[in-house]
Amino acid sequence: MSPLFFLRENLKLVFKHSAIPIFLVLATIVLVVYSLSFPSYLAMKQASAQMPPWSATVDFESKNRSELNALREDLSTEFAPVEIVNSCRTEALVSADKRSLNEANEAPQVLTEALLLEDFDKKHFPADVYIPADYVISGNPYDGEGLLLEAALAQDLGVKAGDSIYVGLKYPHGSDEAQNVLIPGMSPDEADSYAIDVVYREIKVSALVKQGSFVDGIALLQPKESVAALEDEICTSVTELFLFGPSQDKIMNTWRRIQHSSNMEGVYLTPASETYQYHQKEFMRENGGVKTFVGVIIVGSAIAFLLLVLDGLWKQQKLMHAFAVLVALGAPKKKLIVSQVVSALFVYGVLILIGCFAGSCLSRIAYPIWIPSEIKQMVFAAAGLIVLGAVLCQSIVLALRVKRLDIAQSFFGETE
Amino acid sequence: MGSLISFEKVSFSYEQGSKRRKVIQDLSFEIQKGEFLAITGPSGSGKSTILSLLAGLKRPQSGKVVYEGKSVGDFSENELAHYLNCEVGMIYQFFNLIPHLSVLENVMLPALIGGVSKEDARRKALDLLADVKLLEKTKSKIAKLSGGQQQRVAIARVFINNPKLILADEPTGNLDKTSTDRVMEMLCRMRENNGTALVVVTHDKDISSRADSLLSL
Repeated sequence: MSPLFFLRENLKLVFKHSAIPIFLVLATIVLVVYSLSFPSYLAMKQASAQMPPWSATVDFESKNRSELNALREDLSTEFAPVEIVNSCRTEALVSADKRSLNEANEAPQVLTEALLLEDFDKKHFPADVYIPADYVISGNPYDGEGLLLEAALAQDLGVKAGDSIYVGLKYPHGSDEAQNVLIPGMSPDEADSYAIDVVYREIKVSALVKQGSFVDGIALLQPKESVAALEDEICTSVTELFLFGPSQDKIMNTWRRIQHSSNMEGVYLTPASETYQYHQKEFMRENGGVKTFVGVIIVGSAIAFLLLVLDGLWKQQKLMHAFAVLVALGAPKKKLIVSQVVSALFVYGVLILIGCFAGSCLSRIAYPIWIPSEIKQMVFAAAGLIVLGAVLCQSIVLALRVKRLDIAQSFFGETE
Repeated sequence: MGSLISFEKVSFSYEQGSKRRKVIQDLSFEIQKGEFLAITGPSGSGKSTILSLLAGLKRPQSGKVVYEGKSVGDFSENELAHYLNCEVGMIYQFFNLIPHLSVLENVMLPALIGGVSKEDARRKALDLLADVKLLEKTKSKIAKLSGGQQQRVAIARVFINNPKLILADEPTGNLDKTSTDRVMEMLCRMRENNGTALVVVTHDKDISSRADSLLSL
């Protein structure tokens, strides 16, 4: 009878004096939303900054824009719910390029100052720059093609659209391309002993391209090449797709399926380096909020804990007369204490559960991100520990009160 | 009639600062089964202390309170709880009912604590409420009753477990004359019907005159 009695009385008090319980539920909601969302958000940023667990980049060696769009649609259908996003790099490259290319085609050709030329090289190869083959994104001057170079190199060269430069393209020593290099006035054997594997030619700087804050580039193309040709060239060279999904497993599965898909040859995977840099910066910025987060959670939890304890003690005070009556009627004290503790645990448990549930739902709206179950478990365990701790404190106080409870003095009004 | 409970050279004193003041010294008396004992005396003479000792709520500093051959002071916590629940019933000047509960629930409480089923407790409580003429108030909250009615609820409550001994501390001290007469009439009638011993602490000479024996302090 006792647990039900105390449960009913505690519930009555909750409804009769609801200010603290309502505040408690609201505080729990705020704490849960914050403690679920922020660590998840931060963890996502951190994970993205280290090795994005739920995003990946798929690079395509030979896909132009239309093929890429078709592929993206196919993948989106086949691998849902993994989200597949076109690389913004490709889009920006092309859009920035059109104007530059048009300007470049109309500009007079001017030779730039040689930047990397050394005396020995000048003697044999009057090139303005020597470019390691690794730095070339696309093109082969040996075959009469233009070049698409990496951004950093373009910046080092200091060239601008319309410039014309002599490019010495260095191939890895001993490679097939190096074997075919013809050096004026030297036999192939002699050239090989110099370990200089260079193709050089005059190339016009057709366009400088820029993509958002990520990639600068330089296109060194033959004159008369059209914008459409350049678009295709760039798409072919740097096409990539970003994959975003709810878990690393899903991304990896999609990855593997793309790889093993028979009609998708030429697909290979690389770490999303730009995504990595972007998230790393964002993470560093967001990481500054950790102290605030910890502070808010500690202070908030302490307030919730104190509220629970104070509310419990207040309820005890209200129930103390009933407690004394029950003892005088023969209810064992230990049983009464356990009953009160169990009912308090139930009432606070329900209140906190309501707060946790509402907070959990709201966190999805506040931060629509995937929250790892570990964080959920941790937050709910913390909420449970706070309730248990508060009820434990109440139990200790109640036990002391009961120990000091003097029924004779309370009911017989003895002062003798 | 056999002895139900007895005081055997019981002494009890209270601490007052650094001194001890003796309120009971080497007191001995016996209460027979079904006996009505009235205790009278001036304030501070130890009347309520005797009730506390009889109820086992205090332990004598010397001597013994013996209930059916066993020292009340030696009861374990569980034995004392059983004693308070089943053997002894208490009626107080200020009723000490639980205000959040209804009249019926208050009367049922001791039975429920004693492990009686809810249905049986309810049936018995309704019978007792009929005895104290409060059947129409079973669902009322305690706060809505008059003092006399509250004391009648307390009387009904005390009889629900058929105790062998009822201890009443100035049960009519807070009631007017009409209510006093009614409450005492009911208490005495029910005591006689149940064969219960009754110990009443009172200043009221009318009540003490009804008693089988009188203990003046």
